[in-house]
Amino acid sequence: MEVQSYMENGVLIVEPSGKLDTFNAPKFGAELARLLEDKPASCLLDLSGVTFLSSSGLQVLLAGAKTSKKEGINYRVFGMQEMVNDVFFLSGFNNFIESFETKQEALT
Amino acid sequence: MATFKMGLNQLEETLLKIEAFLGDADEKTKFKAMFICEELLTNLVRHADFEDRTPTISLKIESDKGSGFVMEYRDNSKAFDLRSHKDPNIDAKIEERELGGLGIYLVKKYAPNLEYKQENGSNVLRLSL
Repeated sequence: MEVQSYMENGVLIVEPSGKLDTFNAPKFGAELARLLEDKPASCLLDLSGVTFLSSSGLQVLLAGAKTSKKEGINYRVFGMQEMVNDVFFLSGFNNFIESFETKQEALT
Repeated sequence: MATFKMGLNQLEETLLKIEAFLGDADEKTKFKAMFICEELLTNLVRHADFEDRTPTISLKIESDKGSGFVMEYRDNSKAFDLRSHKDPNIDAKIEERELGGLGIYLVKKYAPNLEYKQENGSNVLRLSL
């Protein structure tokens, strides 16, 4: 599990890679919470490198969405692989996190 | 076929062994199998009550031509039928949204044929993928 982050056109892009499972999700959660403390206007999660998502990973995505809602941060995700997307939708996370296929779509 | 026996402090190594056993199975089936194993075993390690018994946890996985895998899971913790576990409200607004129960909810979604029984003081789950 690695987490990269960078700014692009005023948007904070956070890119975790590897498994968002019970062992690795907490590291991503801590990094995401730290990045959201700076209250960026927009935070876009690039999930294209995420190969596995369990309820521990969902917990991190939910915590980020709750913080963003509270702080007025525009929080979205893009690039989910097929089964990661499946877990995301089955969990109903599409009800409160907008998701896109590509970065380009997410940024426009 | 493989049988994995696990102690409460062996979650990570057990999941890695299961992943290695599943090998080059179809990606979607493998994802679902690993999802189910992680949720069941993590839930057990975090929440199960073994009362005064020594924890005995095992997971048997067989390849099945018709589906993908048949799994039989056993533990001797206090009786818990996850089929009766309350589903989370996945339509709740974000403010009311809680994570509890989501792992079990998704296990039931991925294994709708899940069977549960109590046998000789153990929780026994059978499912196929």
